[in-house]
Amino acid sequence: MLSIPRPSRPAVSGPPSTLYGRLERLSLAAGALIMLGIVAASAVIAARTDRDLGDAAHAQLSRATTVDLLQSVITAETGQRGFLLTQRPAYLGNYAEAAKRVPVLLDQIDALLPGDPDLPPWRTAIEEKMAELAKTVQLASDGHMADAIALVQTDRGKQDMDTARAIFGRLAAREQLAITTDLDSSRAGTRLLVIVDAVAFILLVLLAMFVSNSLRGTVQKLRESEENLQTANRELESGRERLEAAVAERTAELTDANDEIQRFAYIVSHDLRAPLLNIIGFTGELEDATNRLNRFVADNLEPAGITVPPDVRAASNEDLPEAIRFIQTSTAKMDRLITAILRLSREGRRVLSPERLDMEKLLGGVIDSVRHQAEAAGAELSLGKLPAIVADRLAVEQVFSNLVENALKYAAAGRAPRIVLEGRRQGGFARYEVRDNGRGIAERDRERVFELFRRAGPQNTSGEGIGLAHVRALLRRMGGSIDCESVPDVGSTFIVRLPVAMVQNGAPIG
Amino acid sequence: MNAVPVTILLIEDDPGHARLIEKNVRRAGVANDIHHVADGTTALAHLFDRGERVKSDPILVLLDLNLPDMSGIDILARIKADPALRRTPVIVLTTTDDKMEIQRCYDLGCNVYITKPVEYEGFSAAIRQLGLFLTVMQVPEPD
Repeated sequence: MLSIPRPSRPAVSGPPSTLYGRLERLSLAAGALIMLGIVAASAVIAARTDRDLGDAAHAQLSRATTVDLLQSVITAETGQRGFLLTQRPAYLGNYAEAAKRVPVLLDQIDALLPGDPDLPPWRTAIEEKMAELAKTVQLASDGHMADAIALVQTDRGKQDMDTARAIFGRLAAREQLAITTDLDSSRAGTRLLVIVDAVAFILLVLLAMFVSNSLRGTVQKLRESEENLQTANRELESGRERLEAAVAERTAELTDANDEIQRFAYIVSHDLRAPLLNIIGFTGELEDATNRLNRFVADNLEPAGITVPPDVRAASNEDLPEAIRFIQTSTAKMDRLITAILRLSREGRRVLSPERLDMEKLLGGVIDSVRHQAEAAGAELSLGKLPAIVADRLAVEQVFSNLVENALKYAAAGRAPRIVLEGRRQGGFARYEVRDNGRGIAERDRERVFELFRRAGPQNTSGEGIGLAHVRALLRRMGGSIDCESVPDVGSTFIVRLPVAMVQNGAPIG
Repeated sequence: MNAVPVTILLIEDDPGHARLIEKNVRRAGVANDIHHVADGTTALAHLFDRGERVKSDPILVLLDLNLPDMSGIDILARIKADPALRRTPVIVLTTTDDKMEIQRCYDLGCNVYITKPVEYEGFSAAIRQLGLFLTVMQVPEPD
């Protein structure tokens, strides 16, 4: 018993592949999330850093403006003192320029630090100082130097200046703190961004490692699957080759066995025939001798008045001829059977040679060959459409001659035979029908009629039961088949199927 | 009854067949000597090992094809290939009615091919015909 080995593992495993698919999808989603996180965090941190830097810049500007303002007030005071001491107008230039800047700077500070509680007192102090300076300069310019000095000596200006300085100190310290805080915060933001990026990078690297790992696993699995598949294919291929080899071997064995049977049939029938010939020959001698004996008794003994005892008479007159007759009937039958076997075995050994056959012409010839019998029986034979085939001419002729002769031979009593031959293509086969209106074949005999030495129905015609067995053997050798459909007392149809193109396979089969 | 009587060489392994052939030949009125051999080797010895005598003695061969030691066709071929014997009439007697084999025998130069008929009547008729043939062929004598 030959079996094709199954692959040790299924070629592609179902559940793991979907698991890997899910893992891969998860990994991709995680990667996307990490990237999204980086973008979001970077945006948030950048916004914060931006704000911090903005705040720091603002504080820087505020600080610079306050410094500028105080500087301007000091410059104005310095200019005033210089003028008061020297009365030189050059000092007045410095003063005037500074005095012009102070209100502008005051407005700027207000705009920069709206609502700062230190600003109103600062403004008041500075404006009072500037007013004192303006007044002293005015007095000095008008020539009232003493009044101007006296005004300075009231120390009102010094007090305002001290107040302004003190408030400036507080403001400056606060701005400095704000700058430092904002810058620190901005630096922290930058550091955070670096840390976030680093973490994200590590996460991405880990993810990439995981994905590549799982991909490698999947790829490995795929490779294994492919190898399994290839192994399975190779096994299948070698299984197929073994199967073909086994079939070829079996076919060769069957062909050998068939040849053996053919030779056996030939030799046996040949060797049986030699002794049979002796039996027939010497039975003839016996018959001849008996006749001579009986003639001698009749011609010589009885006229001479010699009485032959009745049992002796019976022996030579009845028993001997009867025995001889039975022997002769049996040997004659045996000889016919041996002849039939010989013919079958000879046909079985004949090498078939396929050729293209015009079946209408060939079957026309078959009908012509039975013309005399057909006319004698008043038969009507007709040919329908018959597809051409490639087959052995002699074998096909024998097949259809047999079928047509049978159709004529087994006609229904009291009815002129009507025989129709027709055919058609059926795939790679040609199907021919030989239809008659004869006596038909009973259901139980439909298969038997194809067996050797078997005949069906009333045995009122001569025959050995060889024809249809021979027909079937010939058709099988040509790769064809024969079937029978029949309705008793209505008629039979023999259906012959033959390959459209017979394959010559050297050794005869069937 | 003849100046130089023809000897019949019957090459037949089956004694029954040989006896039946002989009886029927005699019954057909042929009185010639019948020399019976049962195998091919003896037959060849009888045909070829007698030297000059075989050339002067007219002979007729009744040959069965199914011999135990060789095929009768081989004997036929040897006879027909021998310059001294090739004119010798050979009558092949066998149970085979294989057309190919019959054709081969005629191709090799057999004069008559007779299938041993199994009906006694047919067989006797064939042998009687053979007897007539023997009678006819006794007439033209070799020098």
